[in-house]
Amino acid sequence: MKLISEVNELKKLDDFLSELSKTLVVEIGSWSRIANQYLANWGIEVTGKNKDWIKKHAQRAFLDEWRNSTDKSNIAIEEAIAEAKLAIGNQRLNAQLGEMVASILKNMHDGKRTFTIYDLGAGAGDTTIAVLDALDLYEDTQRIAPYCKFRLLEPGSTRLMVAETEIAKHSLFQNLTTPPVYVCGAYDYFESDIGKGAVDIFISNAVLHHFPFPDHFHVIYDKLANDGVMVTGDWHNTIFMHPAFMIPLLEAVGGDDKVINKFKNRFCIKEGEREKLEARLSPAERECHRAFIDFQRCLSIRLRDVKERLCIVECLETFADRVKNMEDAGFESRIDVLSKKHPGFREIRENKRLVFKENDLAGVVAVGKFRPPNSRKNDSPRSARQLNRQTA
Amino acid sequence: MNERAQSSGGDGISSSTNGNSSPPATSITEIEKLNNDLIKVTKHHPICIGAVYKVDSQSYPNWGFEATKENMAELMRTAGCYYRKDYSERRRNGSIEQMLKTDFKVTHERRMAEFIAVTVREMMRSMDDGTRQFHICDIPAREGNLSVAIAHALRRDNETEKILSRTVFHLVDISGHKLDKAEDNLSQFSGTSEKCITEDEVLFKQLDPGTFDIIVTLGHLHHKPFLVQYLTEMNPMLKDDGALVIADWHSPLCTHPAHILSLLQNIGLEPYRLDMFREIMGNQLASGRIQLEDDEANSLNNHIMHWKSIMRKLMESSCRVGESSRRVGPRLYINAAYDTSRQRQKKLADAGFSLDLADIRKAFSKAHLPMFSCTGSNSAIKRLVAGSDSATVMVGVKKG
Repeated sequence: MKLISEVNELKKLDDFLSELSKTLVVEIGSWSRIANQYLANWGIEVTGKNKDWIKKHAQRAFLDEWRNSTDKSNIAIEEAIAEAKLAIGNQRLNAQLGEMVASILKNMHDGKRTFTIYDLGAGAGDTTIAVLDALDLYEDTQRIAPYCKFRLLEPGSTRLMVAETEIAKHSLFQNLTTPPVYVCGAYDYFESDIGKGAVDIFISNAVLHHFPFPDHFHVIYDKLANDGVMVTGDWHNTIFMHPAFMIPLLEAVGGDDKVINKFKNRFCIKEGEREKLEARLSPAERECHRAFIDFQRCLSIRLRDVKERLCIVECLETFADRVKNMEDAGFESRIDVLSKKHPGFREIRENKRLVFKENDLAGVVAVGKFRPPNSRKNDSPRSARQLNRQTA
Repeated sequence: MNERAQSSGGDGISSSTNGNSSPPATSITEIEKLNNDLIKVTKHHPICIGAVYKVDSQSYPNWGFEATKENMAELMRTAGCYYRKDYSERRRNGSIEQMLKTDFKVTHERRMAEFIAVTVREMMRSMDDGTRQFHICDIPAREGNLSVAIAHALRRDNETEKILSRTVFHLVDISGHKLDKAEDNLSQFSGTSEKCITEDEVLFKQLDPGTFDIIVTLGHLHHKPFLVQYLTEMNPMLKDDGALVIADWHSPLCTHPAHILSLLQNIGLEPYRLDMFREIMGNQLASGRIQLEDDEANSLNNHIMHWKSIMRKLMESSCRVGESSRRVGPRLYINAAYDTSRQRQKKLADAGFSLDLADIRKAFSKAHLPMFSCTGSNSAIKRLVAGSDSATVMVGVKKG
């Protein structure tokens, strides 16, 4: 398949996906919402010329969907997550993340230092609450609370108000000498929110799969103190790595033969190609596909009932890809190195934790900053690995 | 201290006067009439007072009746019927569960589950001898969130991870559908489970003593009006070195009609309904309120705010107030056997449990137990909401 890179052609591809979605109860969504390293498999070439346009296009696509979502669609998502047995995932991610942050803070606490903890995409405050819960467990960690300054950024004002209300009721709230700061804004606000080196711990859960390009890791890196730490939890999947994997997903959301054939033709998916590609996935990756397809099937049934539309495509990537992106931005992720050289990781045996036993659907990773900025690796976009068309 | 107190005996049978001239009713007919009159107050309203039988039996005298040796069996049976009726209504109308999920409830219930999980992990660490098979009973398991939290807490720690393979979660619930989900959820964390589709009281009668190492229960015991009896039946189910870990919502809301009146006013009930309530509960309202500590007053306030946000949700979902009982909208019931954590401690002690921190630490000497803190108390109690009694976790071990 010939790669496309011209903006006009890219817009046409969105038009095609949008037209194809008309017979479905869900929107396929813009291709720009796919993680950049997989775009080549979708026939899209990211060039120096179109890169910024793609980034902005993706940002707009996510923002539009967020603006159009209502309580009804949010409840539909919640119910579909529960039915697909994924509801426990977000809670587990937060619990894991909270525990990791508390251990790191315990290591870094010297009785003097104040820690600025930045929660990006704070939602209703669940991640910050999980950190407070973990600190609240023991006397030695409770003592750290007065040294913590939380800053929560969230685009939804209603959710931010819930965060403020519920955090104020936390048993450890009175121990905070500085009340948390609640900022209503999207990611672009984060870029200009605080100065370089101002954050000690950066936390975020189930948010980073809305960033198709890993530029944000560079921004976070700059905003972190020289010994800063980033702890993130998120959902992972390889289902958008290749358009062929979309076929069962489209079938699950009601795509008929006509839709499937049009999709196959557009992306030149040959007979048996999907099966060949799937055979190269690990059982855990195949399990992730199954779980995501289940979720979308449940969601499409609910969306049909409430007559609302949401997008399927997200920039989900593998846990390994995510960690690689962090490393490319300059973060250290190897626990043997971190535990020896980084003050926050002393006695920490594992900094990468998967939530479920049989797949890498949800995982938490803590990475540290201590390398001088000039040792950063090249951040040029990587070619699509493993499953690109040439090797397939 | 906010208000004046009344008390009653630990077995649910009143040992005090109710502060007014007329003695509390004891005949079933009189109690039934009181209940029917109260039900009329919120008839055709989506938020109903609910059956008076469902309140904590130790608070019955505040409502103008009391449990005696003669009427207790009938009161227990009737309360059970009303709780089962609530459950059936929730099953029929899925929106009830959705309405009851306020931000406050969801956030702090999740926190209670996490606190239980870490506590149980530490207890198991202490009890473990490298080969021990653990039997954890989760009542009610619902969709397995609490058992999953425990399994995940065990898995997060390299040392306790191996215990998980020797642990059986006994998931108790009357909903087979929920238990199927619980089992599926737990299987994602290597947890082995056994489903018990039954009422907990029935289960206690079927099991051999000493079946469980740990019993956990989250947000459930405020559905047990005769809690001392319930806990007394539960006690033998634990092994001698076992423990009961409870997290529950506490509030004095249903312990006195004056609190309910305040709630009804807060949710904007029509004046004629408020007058009906005042007329029915006149003597009890005149007799004064219960003494409340500051944390209890705060939990009452939180409970009222919880119902106010439910009312707001009902209004927003355009559930029309005042329609006929055949309408589609959900009916939500206020009354339940809520008590304060101080009352709960007493009940646990009466049922043969020790909450003494020294006893707990001795029983789990190898555990790195979380901080239990309660001002002026040596009990294993953790309050999760600042300055409030609302969401509390307690640990009890068998006495002597």
